[in-house]
Amino acid sequence: MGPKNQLTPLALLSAAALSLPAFSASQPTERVVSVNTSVYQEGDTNAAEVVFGDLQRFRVKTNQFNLSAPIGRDWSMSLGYDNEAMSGASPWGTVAASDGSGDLIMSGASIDDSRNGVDVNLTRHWRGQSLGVSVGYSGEHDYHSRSVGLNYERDFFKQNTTLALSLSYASDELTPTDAQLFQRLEKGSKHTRSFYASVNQLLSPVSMLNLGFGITKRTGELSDPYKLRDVRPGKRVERTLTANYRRYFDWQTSSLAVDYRYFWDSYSVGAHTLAMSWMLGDEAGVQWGPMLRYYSQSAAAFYTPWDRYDQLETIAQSSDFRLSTFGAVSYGLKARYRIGAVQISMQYERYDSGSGYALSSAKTEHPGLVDFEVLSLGAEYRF
Amino acid sequence: MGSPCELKLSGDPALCQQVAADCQHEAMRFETQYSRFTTNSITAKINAAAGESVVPIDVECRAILEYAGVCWTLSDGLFDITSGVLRRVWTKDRTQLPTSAELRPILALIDWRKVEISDAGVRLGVSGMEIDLGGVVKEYAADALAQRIRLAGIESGVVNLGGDIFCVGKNPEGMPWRIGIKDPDGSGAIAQVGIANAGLATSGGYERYIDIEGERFSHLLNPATGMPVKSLASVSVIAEQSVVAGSIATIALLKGQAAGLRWLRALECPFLAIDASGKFCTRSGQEGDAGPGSDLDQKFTRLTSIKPN
Repeated sequence: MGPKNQLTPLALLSAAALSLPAFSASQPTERVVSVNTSVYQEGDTNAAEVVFGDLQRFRVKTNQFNLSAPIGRDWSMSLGYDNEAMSGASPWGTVAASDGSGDLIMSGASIDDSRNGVDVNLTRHWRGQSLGVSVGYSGEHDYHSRSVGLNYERDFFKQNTTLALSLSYASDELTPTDAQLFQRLEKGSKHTRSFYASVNQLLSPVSMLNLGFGITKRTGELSDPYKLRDVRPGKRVERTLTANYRRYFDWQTSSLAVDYRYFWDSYSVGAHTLAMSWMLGDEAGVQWGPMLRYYSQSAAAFYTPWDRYDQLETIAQSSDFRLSTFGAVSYGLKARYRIGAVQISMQYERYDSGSGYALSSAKTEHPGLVDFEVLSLGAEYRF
Repeated sequence: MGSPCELKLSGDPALCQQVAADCQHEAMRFETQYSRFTTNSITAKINAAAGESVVPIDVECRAILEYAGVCWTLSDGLFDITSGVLRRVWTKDRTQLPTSAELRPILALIDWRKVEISDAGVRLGVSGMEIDLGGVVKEYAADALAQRIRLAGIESGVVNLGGDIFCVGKNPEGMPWRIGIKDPDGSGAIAQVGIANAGLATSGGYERYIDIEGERFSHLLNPATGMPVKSLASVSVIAEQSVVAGSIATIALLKGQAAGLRWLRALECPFLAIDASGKFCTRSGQEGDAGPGSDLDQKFTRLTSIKPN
């Protein structure tokens, strides 16, 4: 089954041709190896809004490796490995400041941590259908996660429709560092169950629409153990609705992608994401284009701009900026260059967040909102 | 297949003979199974049951029909395997253009959407409808034969089914196979191209034509209007599969000159198009004579006439 993200008429025709019996007798033996490296850098916090701690925020260097290959006539596999090296300070808590907003307490010395992850997938293919199984593991010194997943895809050729279903389960274990020293939770666990369904429909020879619905249930220790005061309900149900539209243009052999996502959960967080990107150029040469994304979120029901020590520890509260009302705008540039069997890609993105960007109004802006830049480079080899 | 077919194989002589016989057998199977003319073919059975019962079909026939459906979608309905019924109006002995009264009942029988494909088989929704799989099957047969050749262990060969070509590997000298493109106006080759491990399909807009009141009309008809398309004279396309190359070429011819050229340019396949006035249009091609040993790989080059002294 060919890649469904390629919309050109040639890709669609080739995918249909490959379903003809003469070709399934010996599947193309194309294997793909890809590597990617990226640097994510958050902007420093404003000194005027920090009461205590390091100003320098997160810097994450990521390296990824992936191999995918067909096995025999009816199977395919993929193997992925990724490594992240993180350093920098993050907010421990927030206190009320004299100007009516909050001030940050940042973690002291920069943390220096690394995470390793591996995931393996095995898929069985039939004419018009495929069923795959994945297992994954991710670990860092204070956090381990194990996951399994199942995914099914079915093509309805006459209607030009594809249906995709997936189920996954993850079991995480946290053992926060310096637990006794800082009187933190010593050990906790978390379970995540997810279901996702999507329908991909070809609207015309040059456009397609994908609609998706997802539901995720998280249970266990959901409070952030590294925050001074963070108490969250032990169950969180999240739902997403997504719509992705792709349109291909003969002009400059370009394509437009518009993606919308609506998220709402049992914490009362509601968020909209709208992203657009444009790619110009021939698949055989250089392709490049800009991207723009807008995000707006409304706060969790138990969000509080600064930590409330007057409340009992059993009452839900969190001053985590990620649960506040805020919005963000990001913009960037992507470029790809193909020479023979090798493709090199580059991506730059800048993200700016603030309470002013949000659709709903926030009384105060959380001082911990981040701005960041990401630069990534990748290479892919088909053989 | 209705046209001259040729097989070139390079390797162990005994193996080549065996594979050649095997390919001939397979080509005959395609012919008898999908021909409109033989009463035993699946096509004839489906056409005979039009408007009535569901005809069970095998996996291969289903895949061919679904492929034809994708072609219909990508061509905005111009590529329609139910349009063969127009033959009933456009007979060889016509001396005048058909009137809309003549065309209307026939056009009512042309609609890919009325071809009902289900797990039980296929049924043509309206009595009198016909499907013609000839075009797709001829191109697909070239791929199927090439696959047999490869699986048998032969690494160098050419399958040529009346202009639908697949080149397995490189030629015995280690260079891409050099294929000539026929001059749409006459005999002889007007261009050449080198290909290896790829399919090449060449279709002519005026290969078959009808002369009415001194004007030449193409045999390619628009399924919506029933009238001939003012087509490019010849289109050659290179793709990973002959069937894909063939469909791209056919759709380019059905779209007419200007739209056909835009379609070819947008597809990113190497192609050669010759318009009605003889003008060349090509992707990755160059004018002029190509000397021996020049790199022709997937490049169409014009063959100039003999240079004067």
